[in-house]
Amino acid sequence: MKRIEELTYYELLNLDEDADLSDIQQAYLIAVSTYSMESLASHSILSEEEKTNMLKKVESAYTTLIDRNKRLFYDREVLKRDVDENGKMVPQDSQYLTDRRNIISHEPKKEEVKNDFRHTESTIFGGIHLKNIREMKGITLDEISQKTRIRVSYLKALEEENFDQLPAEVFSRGFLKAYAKYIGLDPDVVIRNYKFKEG
Amino acid sequence: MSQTDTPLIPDYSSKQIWAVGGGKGGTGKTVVTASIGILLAKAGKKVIIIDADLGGANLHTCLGIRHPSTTIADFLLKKVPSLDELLIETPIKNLSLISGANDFLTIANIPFAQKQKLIRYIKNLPSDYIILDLGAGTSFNVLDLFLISDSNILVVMPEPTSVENVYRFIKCAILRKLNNALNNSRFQDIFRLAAEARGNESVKTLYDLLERVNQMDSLVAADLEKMINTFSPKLIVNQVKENDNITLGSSIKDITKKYLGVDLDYSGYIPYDEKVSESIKRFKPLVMEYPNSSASLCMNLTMKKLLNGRKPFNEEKVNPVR
Repeated sequence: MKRIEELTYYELLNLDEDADLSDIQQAYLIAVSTYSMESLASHSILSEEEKTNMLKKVESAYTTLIDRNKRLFYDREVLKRDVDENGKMVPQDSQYLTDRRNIISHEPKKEEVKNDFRHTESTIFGGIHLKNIREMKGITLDEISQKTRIRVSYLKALEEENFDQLPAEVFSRGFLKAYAKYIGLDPDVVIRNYKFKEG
Repeated sequence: MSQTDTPLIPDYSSKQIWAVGGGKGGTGKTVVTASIGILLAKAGKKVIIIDADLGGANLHTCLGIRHPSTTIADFLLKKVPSLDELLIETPIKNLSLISGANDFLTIANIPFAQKQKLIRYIKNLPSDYIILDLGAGTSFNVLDLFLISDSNILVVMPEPTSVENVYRFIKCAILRKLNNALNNSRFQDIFRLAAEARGNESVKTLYDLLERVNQMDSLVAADLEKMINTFSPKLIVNQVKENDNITLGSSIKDITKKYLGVDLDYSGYIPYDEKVSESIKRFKPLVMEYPNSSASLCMNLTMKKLLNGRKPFNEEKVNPVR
């Protein structure tokens, strides 16, 4: 049993980790109908606030999984899954695959995935994605604040993309890097894909 | 986790007991129960249907029996020594009925000892399948009969009242299951709080309950979690009309998993069909009188899913109908 916040994007949409695009599309449509305000299935059991929150989560799960690069990043960096040559996901700690990969290529696969990100402009890591990943890992803002000595209000502003409440971008970028690192993401990738200004 | 870890329902024999519930009256439980029984009997299985709707029995009518000669009341009032003597032949081969029809008003609230005796006798009935048609509501009698079954079937229809009741039923059933398994006064207060939680608060109760039990005794909490994980009722959406959302079943499954912690098995939907009420008016079972009506055809598909679905405890004992 998991709390809602701890669900991965796949669990959120009831998908297998090898789901294809049409599976994702279909799961998304069902989820939107399940949590829409007028949904019959949620009658008596979910509050409006819970539905709104769930729809936000569903939206970020969908936008992540439907985009090849974002999904690849999510699988690798958040779920710590490995992707074999056929595109099928396997747990990263699989010794067999590690060995085999070392034989095939001396270059760590992680680098290749990072390189993918360098070539794509479309991959954006928004505040809501960061928040979801943080919650899934069960990390609180207070905890990050204590360890990084960044005010909770700044961390929250980063997640909500409230740029008015953040200091100059050069400082905020430093906060974002520290935040990303703390929740186990590659700070460089996050920085490259987070938009500091509207538009 | 292995599904064969702990036998959670002790001392059950090779026969299958299926219970059909869902909390609200009028959803079509009785017609669904009768159809399931008939389809199993037609497939060559020996089937006994029991009208366990002790307060408002009418299963006999769906099977074309106007005035049942004996009823379960005769057993509860000790007029007969065992349930076997209450078996009524139906117009369908291999299918017999234990009727619940009675005028004995207080019978819906049978005392604990009598309930235990009834359950013992139900388990000993000579049959391949025993199908229980449960009454409305979430009384302990209804819940306990639901929980002794190998297969727990819920019937819901696309109306807010029915959806509301099915969630309440699932929540009450899982709490009752845990409570029955955990006959220990140390935890009673936690259960009382969980059962009393209302509205949105109730949604997270199972998780919170586990966490609180965990603080007191992690071994017990692990057992309870195992029990929750292996509790997998089957959901049938009945009386679906043209404009209804056919994803309702999947949506209820999703919400039940995420917010109540229970993994439902969605077994299919049955369309609203005038033929259902026509068959009742004629005192003829639907799947016999109108086997090609849309309701009967969907009932057949649902039946296949009920038989091939995941069986948490005794996979090898189910003989799929061909």
